[in-house]
Amino acid sequence: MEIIRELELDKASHFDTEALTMLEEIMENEFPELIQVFISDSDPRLSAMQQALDNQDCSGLRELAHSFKGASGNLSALPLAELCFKIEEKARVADLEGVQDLINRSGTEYQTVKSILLSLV
Amino acid sequence: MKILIADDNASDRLLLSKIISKQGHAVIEAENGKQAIDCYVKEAPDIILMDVLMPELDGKQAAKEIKHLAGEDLIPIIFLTSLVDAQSLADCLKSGGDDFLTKPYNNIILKAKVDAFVRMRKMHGTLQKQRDTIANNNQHMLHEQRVAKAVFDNVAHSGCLDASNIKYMLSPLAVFNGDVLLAARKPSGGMHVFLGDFTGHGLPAAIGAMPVAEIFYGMTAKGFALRDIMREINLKLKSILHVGFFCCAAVVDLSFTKRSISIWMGGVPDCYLLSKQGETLKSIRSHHLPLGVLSSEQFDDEMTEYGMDIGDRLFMWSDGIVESRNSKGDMFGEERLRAIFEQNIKHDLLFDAVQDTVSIFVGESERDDDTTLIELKMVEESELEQSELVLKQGTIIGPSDWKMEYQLGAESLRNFNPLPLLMHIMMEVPALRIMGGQLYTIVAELFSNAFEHGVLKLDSELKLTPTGFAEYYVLRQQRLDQLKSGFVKINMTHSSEAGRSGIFRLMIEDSGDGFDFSEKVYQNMETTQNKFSGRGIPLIHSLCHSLEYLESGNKVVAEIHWP
Repeated sequence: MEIIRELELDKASHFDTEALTMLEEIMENEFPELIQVFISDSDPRLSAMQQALDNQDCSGLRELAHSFKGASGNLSALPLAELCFKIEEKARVADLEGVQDLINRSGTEYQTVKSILLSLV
Repeated sequence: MKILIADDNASDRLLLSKIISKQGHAVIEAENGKQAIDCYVKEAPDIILMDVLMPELDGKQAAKEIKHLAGEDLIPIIFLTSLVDAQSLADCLKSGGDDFLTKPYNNIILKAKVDAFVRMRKMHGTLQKQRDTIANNNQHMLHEQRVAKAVFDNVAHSGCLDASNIKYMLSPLAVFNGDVLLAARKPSGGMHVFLGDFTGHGLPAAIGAMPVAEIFYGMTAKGFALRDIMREINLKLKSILHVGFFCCAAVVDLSFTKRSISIWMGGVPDCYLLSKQGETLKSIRSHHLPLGVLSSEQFDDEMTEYGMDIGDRLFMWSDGIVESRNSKGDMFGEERLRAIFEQNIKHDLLFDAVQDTVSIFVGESERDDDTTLIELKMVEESELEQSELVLKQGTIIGPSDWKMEYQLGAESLRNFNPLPLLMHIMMEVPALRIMGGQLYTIVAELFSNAFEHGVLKLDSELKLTPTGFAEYYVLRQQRLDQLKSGFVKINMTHSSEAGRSGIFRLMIEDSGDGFDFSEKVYQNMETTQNKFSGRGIPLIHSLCHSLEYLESGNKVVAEIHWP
């Protein structure tokens, strides 16, 4: 109970709550499926991004970040989308300085987003 | 509507397809650019929503390929993108996208855009269908006009436009342009020429032109006077053409023997009459309304006569020459036309000079009217080809053994000229058709002898002096007005030997007293030709196989043998 309330309070700092509510309405009983698909799509993305960074693969990193940004944006996880956007931009100009930190932060952010989403279904 | 969603992001796809389904559309999904192209080919969606960045083949390239495959079909492609800078969005449209939608999706905007493209696609479909219908109709119309032109060419160009004293130019357009050029030799010698310009183009004009050609050739061949032919054409056009449709025309009766032309002009530009030496260039102006405007009662068939020496030329044209325009839109105009004639060009080259000058003036600009031009030269009739009426092999059918008797009483003789009718009957025989001119002379001469000297009892010797000549015609009119009794009987017989040879026998009998033919005609024919020239007997004699006067001289039998 304690944890759930905490998440509830925290929701607003990780999501555009209004958009998320609308999303639930649109998806109706398929909302859980959407969450499932999002999570199964996104789980491998963090390690893939890490690998791309390790390999100095800027275009791969950019694509991954772009895709992740789109998916999280659509789920109204705007802070996560913002972090992905920063990685995408850095990769686009092939400036990998500080990207490790961004990947770490997006990993943490994703875990929170994931917990909140799972708590909704 | 069937909508294709191409996005490599499964959650995005799921969300989008949910939104689209809820709006009542069928959804197909593709995970990358390659799949999107395959889906487009297999499923033929109505609208495509496509992510820009995708593995395998990205959205922009897929869009290009799909647009290429679609050809004329409008397949709206809306790019899905989280890119927000103006350049990226512009690039989407540049690569063939029709619109873009930024992530995260806004439900309301998405619906509005999809609806707008559904409308656009439907409209495009309608437009294409209508365009195809119009194209088909146009094709159909052109075909009909070509057929009309071909039919018209068959009807119109059976005349003698190719005679050596005629030069002419007709528009090379495949579609009938409203200009008509007809020329025919008269059975009695001479030539009829008709230059007409119908209002309008294509079918309406061609429809009017058909009967004109038919009447012109038919009546000319049967020996009708040009005035009667014009009356008939005018009447026909007046009755068949729609109000506002008419035919401007210049009509010429050319006499080689009299060395003159009689011309009737209605609504056409001035014609030029150029003497051989070139010292005079005479403009002849139109004085009448076009054909097909006035009723028969109001129609004025008066023609103006001009002398023409050997080598003199008459130039006629439709307004297409004067009104042809250059690329700047200036008209060629009468002044430029006249200037050509004042340049001292050799007369033989004038026709080409007019043609060339107009052609250079018009240049590359599109010809919008009809440029019809004809030059008529006065020559000795003997210089012309024998006869354009050459019998085609295998057409020797028609009446071969027949006989007819036709008797005209006083009333008929006063009001009716039987020559066209007689010619018509003779011309039904193909072999006689070639001798039309000769036969016309014989029938006309013998009939007028029977009528004027026999029935009206006019003395042919009166015609020997100029004063007597005038008196002759005064008397003729007087006696014609008073004619109460009398007749001319015409008897025609034709027999043929298996279509290879034949004999035409013409007997004309009148109610008059006859004349002393035995002495006058036969004994003194060589020495006193002049005396009887009024009756034209020596001439007739030379044209016939035999010519014989019977009884009191009120009966004459002429025999013509063919071939």
